[in-house]
Amino acid sequence: MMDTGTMTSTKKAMRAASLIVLWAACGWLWPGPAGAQRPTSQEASDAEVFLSVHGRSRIVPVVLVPFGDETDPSVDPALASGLFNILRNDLRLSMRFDVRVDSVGPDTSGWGPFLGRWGASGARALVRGVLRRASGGTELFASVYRLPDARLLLARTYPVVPPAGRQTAHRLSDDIVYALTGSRGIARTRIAYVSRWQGRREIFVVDWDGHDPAPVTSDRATALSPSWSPDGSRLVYSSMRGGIWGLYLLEVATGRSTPLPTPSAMNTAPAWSPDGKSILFAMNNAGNIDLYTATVPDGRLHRVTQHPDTDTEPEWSPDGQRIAFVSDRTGLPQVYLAQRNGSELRRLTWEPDAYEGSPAWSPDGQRLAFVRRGFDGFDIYVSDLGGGAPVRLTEGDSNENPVWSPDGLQLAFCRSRGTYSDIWIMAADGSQMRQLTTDGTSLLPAWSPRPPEND
Amino acid sequence: MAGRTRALIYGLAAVSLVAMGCAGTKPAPVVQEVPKVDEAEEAARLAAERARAQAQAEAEAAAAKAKAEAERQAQLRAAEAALKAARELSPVYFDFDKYNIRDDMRPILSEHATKLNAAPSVTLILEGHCDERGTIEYNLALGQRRAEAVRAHLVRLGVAPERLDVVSFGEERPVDSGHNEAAWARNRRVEFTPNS
Repeated sequence: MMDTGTMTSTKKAMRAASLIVLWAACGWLWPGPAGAQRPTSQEASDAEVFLSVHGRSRIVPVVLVPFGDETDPSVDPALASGLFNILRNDLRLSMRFDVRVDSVGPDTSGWGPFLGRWGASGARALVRGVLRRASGGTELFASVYRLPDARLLLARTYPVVPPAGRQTAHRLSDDIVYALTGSRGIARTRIAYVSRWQGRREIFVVDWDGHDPAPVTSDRATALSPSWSPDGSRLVYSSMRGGIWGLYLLEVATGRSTPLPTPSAMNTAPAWSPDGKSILFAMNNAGNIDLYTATVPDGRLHRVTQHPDTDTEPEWSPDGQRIAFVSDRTGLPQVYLAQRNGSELRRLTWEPDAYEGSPAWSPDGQRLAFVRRGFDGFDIYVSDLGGGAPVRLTEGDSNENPVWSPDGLQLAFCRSRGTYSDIWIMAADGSQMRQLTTDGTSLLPAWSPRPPEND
Repeated sequence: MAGRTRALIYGLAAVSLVAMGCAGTKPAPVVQEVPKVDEAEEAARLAAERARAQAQAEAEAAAAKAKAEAERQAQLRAAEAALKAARELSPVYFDFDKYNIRDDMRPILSEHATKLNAAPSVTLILEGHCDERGTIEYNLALGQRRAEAVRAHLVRLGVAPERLDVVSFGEERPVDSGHNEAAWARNRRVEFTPNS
C-alpha cells in the first residue's frame, strides 16, 4: 500500500539499526567510510548526480506519483497501475532509493500540486507518468523532476509492450537510475541458475525481480554452472549428457545449445571471459584436475594451472587480466588469485584452516566475494583486495555461490536449509535480503550483464 | 528173349542218354537255393547286433553328453556367479574432503579385484560421490579424484585399466538424504556400476 511518512521513518530507523548491528558485528574489520566512498571513474558523470555509489549506496528519497491515463477511456487503468507497481518495485530493488508514493491519487491534474506538496519533504526527485493511445498502440510518457527546484531531468515516451509492459517499466527504471545517479541501472538484467525440471537439473533464467522463471535447456541430464557471455545473449554451462561432463554454449533466446569440444570426459565450472573469446574451466586430465581455457567456438585448449592437487571454480577479474579460483593444494579448498596465465599465484587470505570456495570478483575489480565454512554451512564473505580482513555477510543456513550484480551493489547467492535451496539477493553489505526463487531446488546463480547501451 | 534184349538196350540207351544229357547240361538252380537261406539269417543276426551296438553307443553318447552338459552348466553357473559377483561390488567409503583409500577399505577393494579378475568380460563405471558439505563444483572434482583413486588401486591389483571408466556425480546423488555425520559418511563413496 501507500507509504506514509511514519512508515518511512520507521524503515529508516530499522535500516539505521541494522547498519549499527552490522557495524558491531564486523567491528574493526569493516573497511569504513573512506573505503565506501572511494570515487570511481565509472560514477563520474555530467548528469545530475546526487550520490556516489560504491559498495553501500547512499539512499536517495524519491516520490512516485501513480500513473494516470489522461482520461483516455481506451487505456486500461489496470495497465497503468500494473506498470506503476513494476516500476516502484524496480526502484526499491535497485537499493538506491527510498521510494515514497504520493497517496492523493492518479496523476490527472498536472504536476504543479505534486511539486508543491513534495517540494519541502526532503525527497530529491519526483517521477510521474501518463499512459495514452498512440498510432502503434499504448505509450507511456514519463518525466522526472529534481526537487525542490522542479528542474526537468528526464522526459521520455516509451512504447508499452503488451501484455503487462514489464520491459517498459524496467527501461524507465534504468533511465531514472541513470538520471539520478549517473550509473546504469540493472532492471533489465536476468539471473540464470540451476533448478529441477521434470526431475532433472536444467538451466533456468528469471527476471531480476523474480518474474517469469523458465527453463532454457532441455538436456534431461544434469546441467550445472551457467555463466553468461559478455553480451548477455549466450550461456556456457556444464552438462552430463551421454555420461560425461561436457561444456555447451547455449543461445538463450532460441534454446539452441552446441557442444564446446574438449579432449576430456570431465569439464566443469566454466566461466566466460570478459572479452568473450574463451572459456576458463576445470578439466580432468589423467586423474588431475587443473584450469584450462578453450577458445569459442573451436575449443583450442590452453593450460592455465599445473598442480597435482585440484584446481577448480575459476572466475575472471572484470578486466580479464587476472583469475581467482579454488585449490586444495594445502590440503583444504581455499581461494587463490593469479594472473590470467597462472603466474603470480597467491592465496587470498592466510587463514590457515579455512575451508573456502566460490570466488567472485566485484565489477569494479576491487573486491572478492567468496564462501567459507562455518560450523553448520557456508557463509559469504567479501574481501577488499586493497587489504583488510574479509567481512562476513551472512549467518545461519548455508550460503553459497555468491555472484555480483553488474552495478556491484548487490549479490545473488544460493541459500540452503536441509534439502531446500533457493536463490536469494542481498545488498553488498549483507543487508536487505530478498528471496528470488521459491521452488526449493535452485542453485548456482549467474547474474546477466546489462543489455548493450544502445538497446 | 529178343524182346527183353531190345528193352534192355533201349533202357541202357535211355540211361546213357540221360547220363549224357546230364553230363552236357548246366547245374540246376536248386543247388544255389540253400546258401541263400543262410545269408538272410546272418543278415538278420548282424542287423540285430548292429542295433544292439548302436543302442549301446547311443546310450554311452547320451551319458557322455549329459555329463558334458552338466559340466557345461556348472561352468556356466560358475561364470554367471563370477559375473554376478563382479557386477555387484559393494561401495567403498571415504573420509571428509579426502580421496585417499582408507585402510579399512583396502581388503574390500582386494576382494573386488579378485572378483573382477575372475570375470574378465565385466567392465565397470566407477562413480565418485561426495557429501553435501563442499561447494557443488569442488565436490565434482573431489568425486572425480575418489573414483580415480579407486581405479588406480584396482589397476595395481591386476584389473585392466580399460575395463574401468570413471565419472563424478559430486553431491548430486546422495544415498542418504540426512544432514548428519552418519548420512554424510554414507554419501562419501565410490559405487561400482556394471557397464557390460
